[in-house]
Amino acid sequence: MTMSSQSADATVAAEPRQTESAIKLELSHVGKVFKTERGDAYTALDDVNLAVQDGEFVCVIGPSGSGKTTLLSVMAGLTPATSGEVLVDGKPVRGPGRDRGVVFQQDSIFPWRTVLRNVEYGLEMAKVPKDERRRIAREHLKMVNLDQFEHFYPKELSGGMKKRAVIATVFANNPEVLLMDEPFGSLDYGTKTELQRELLGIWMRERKTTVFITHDVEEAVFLADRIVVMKLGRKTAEIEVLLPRPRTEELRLSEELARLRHRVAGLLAGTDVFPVVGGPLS
Amino acid sequence: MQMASRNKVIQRSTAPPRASAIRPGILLARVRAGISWRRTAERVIGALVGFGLLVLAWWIAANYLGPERLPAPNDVASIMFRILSSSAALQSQEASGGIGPGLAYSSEHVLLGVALGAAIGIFIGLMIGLSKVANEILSSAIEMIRAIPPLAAAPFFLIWFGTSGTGQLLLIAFYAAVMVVINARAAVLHLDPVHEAFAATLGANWWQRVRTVVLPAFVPEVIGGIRVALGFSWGIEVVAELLGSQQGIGHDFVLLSTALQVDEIIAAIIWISVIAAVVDRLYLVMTAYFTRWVPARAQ
Amino acid sequence: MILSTLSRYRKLLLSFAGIALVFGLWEAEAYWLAATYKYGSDLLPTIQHVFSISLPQMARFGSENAKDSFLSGIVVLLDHSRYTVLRLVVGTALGAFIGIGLGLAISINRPIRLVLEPPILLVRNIPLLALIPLFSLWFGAQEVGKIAYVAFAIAVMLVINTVQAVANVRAIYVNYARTLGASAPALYRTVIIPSILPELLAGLKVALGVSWAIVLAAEFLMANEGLGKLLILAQTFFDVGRMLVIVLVFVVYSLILNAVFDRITRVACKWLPATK
Repeated sequence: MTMSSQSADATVAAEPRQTESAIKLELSHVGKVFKTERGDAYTALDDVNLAVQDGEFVCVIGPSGSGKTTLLSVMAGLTPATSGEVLVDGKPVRGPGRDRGVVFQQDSIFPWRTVLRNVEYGLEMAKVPKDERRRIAREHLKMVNLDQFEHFYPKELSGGMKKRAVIATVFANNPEVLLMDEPFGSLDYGTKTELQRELLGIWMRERKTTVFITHDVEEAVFLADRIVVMKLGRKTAEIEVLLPRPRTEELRLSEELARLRHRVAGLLAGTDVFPVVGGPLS
Repeated sequence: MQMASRNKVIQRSTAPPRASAIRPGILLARVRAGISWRRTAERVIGALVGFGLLVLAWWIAANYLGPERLPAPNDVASIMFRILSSSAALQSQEASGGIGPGLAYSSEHVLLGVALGAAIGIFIGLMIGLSKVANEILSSAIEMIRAIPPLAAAPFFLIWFGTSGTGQLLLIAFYAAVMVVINARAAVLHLDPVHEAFAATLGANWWQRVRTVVLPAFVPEVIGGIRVALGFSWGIEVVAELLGSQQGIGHDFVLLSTALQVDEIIAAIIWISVIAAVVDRLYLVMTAYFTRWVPARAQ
Repeated sequence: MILSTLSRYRKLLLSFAGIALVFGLWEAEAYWLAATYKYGSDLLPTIQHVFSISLPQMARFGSENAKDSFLSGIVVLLDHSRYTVLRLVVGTALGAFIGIGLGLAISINRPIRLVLEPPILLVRNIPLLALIPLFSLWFGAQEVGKIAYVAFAIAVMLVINTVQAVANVRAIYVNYARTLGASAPALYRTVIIPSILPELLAGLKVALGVSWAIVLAAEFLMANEGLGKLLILAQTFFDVGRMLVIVLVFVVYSLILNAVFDRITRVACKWLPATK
């Protein structure tokens, strides 16, 4: 789907993939207003519209307080929107469910279960027979390189390892849509980049529709097909990322990516362009 | 891989931000801290319904069991104030006639005993706090004493100090002292050494550090320990008196029991509970100042 | 070299020093009392007295004409221990079952909690020991009475503990489970109950400690046998020596039970990361 269009159209801005695949996840005029009982109203989300293609990887980026976590919460069905609606495959969202998998910012892995039992959890809830779910769980543990740790308890794992276990869990559950809320925010740079690679590795197998929240510009550019900028509850800009896949470490260090980073940083900062020293702006 | 990819900016918004979406951090804090009248009303109504259910259950049980086994709530309610000054069972025995004097006697003992015990406990607790060696030596002794339930000590105190009141007082003081020492020790153990180190780097000498870092950390734990001791001491006093005392509410209980006055016994129990609860609330209010800096959920 | 070995066992040595201190003070006080007062030796017998004389004297609680001997003394102790430990264990188990069950039931939804929690808090405010006259009147010296009393006390303590533990469950685990497709009953079974287990066991341990005192008090005033009853009997004989024997036995039991409980807790919560 994507390979051909990228290699063919090196110099021409390719048409977005809209005509090729359906819209998997759609936010239509979504608003969220929090009310304190004193009567104050705080608008977390203001008329947000977003259409995510099937198989697209969208990053939502914004400063703290821009509403991105609320956005994810609404998409996951953990909080109801006060106006507008969220549609998955055209059907409105009514609460959390296995069709929208979530990787949270904090450690959500169940401390009282071993790694293997954690990864099995979604399958257990779906009443998948034991042998089958063991097999699927082990498969996914292998994908995140945690197969040696299947009988460990979370207390024996590092932060990065716990995150990988959660990613394996969510992927094993085979959701329609993947939602991730700054999952690598608390990790050091080395672990973070390693996990980004691993995530893309798994993602490439099935091309799940993904919405990934972050405040890290480099991360957004590295991972996404499209970047959405949010500020103060509103979508302020969108930019397509036409870097080729698979995204390699070389690409991370390339000028191409650096230029893109500058543009996104500029959009974040609110200026049209972020001045680059010694290079043409594309 | 030189892609001159034109990463298109698809959309840009030029509208200014909404006025109500100001400084999110502050507003979020207000969202969390706001007092909700609706929620308070919910709690009050819930409590009232709950108490109502309790009284109803009592009434049903009373009807089922009969007035000799369990008097009805209204019967007990009607004698609540009367028995302070006059009770048939008590009148035959002594001049006072009601449970009022007994309640006063017992309350006095509890309050004095806890005060005394707290003082002793604080003294020992300080020694533990200030000296690591004292801490280690006393720790095992404390663990041993802690394994003895306070009531096991009751007969000893009654033999050593008699049943005339001193024994009960000292028993309560003993229990309060133990509670305070245990809590003081816990406070010292849980004190993050970084605070003392920080103070040292800011130039505080040993005595200053003790005064400004160690002691203030002590205080809330000790206050908590005293509160627990206070709560349990009412029961200890009653049992100690039941074991042999000429005065006090425990003694009144003995007389009421032989006279099979269940309604008066229940009324007396309610009175003790009320006094205990009032003392507890007052204590919290009085010590609130000293615990004002303690963050929530600091166990 | 000696010093280095000494410093390694420093903690252990100091602990022994503490225990030795207590016993030392005991002996010293006993001797001082005996020397100073006419009946001083009755106020606080020495340690030897307790073991060599009081322990055999326990036999006198067995039957009228029993001769003092170590064996019969120990038999009497064990016999009465039976009662005490039984009341404790059965009462605590029953109370835990009722208390935790009730606590979970109350936590199901907010309205039920708002209604049922306040009356329970109210009952919790009644000094437990003050209820003895009531239970005594209702049950006399029947076994049921003491067990019911212990169960009631434990249940009251544990209901609140359970409700609080459920309220403390971290929202993220619940949300995570829901996004993985957990239904409400599965949520309770696989998330809420495992996560409250440590707090529940901690509360149970505290309740266990209190229940020793409760059983003792019940045996003081509502029983015809048991260690508490023996303690009171010894008191009427003004025999501090025998009282001390009973207390020491008591302490040993509670230490053993505590150790067993700790072991169970460690196994049940082996997933718990070390804190502090």
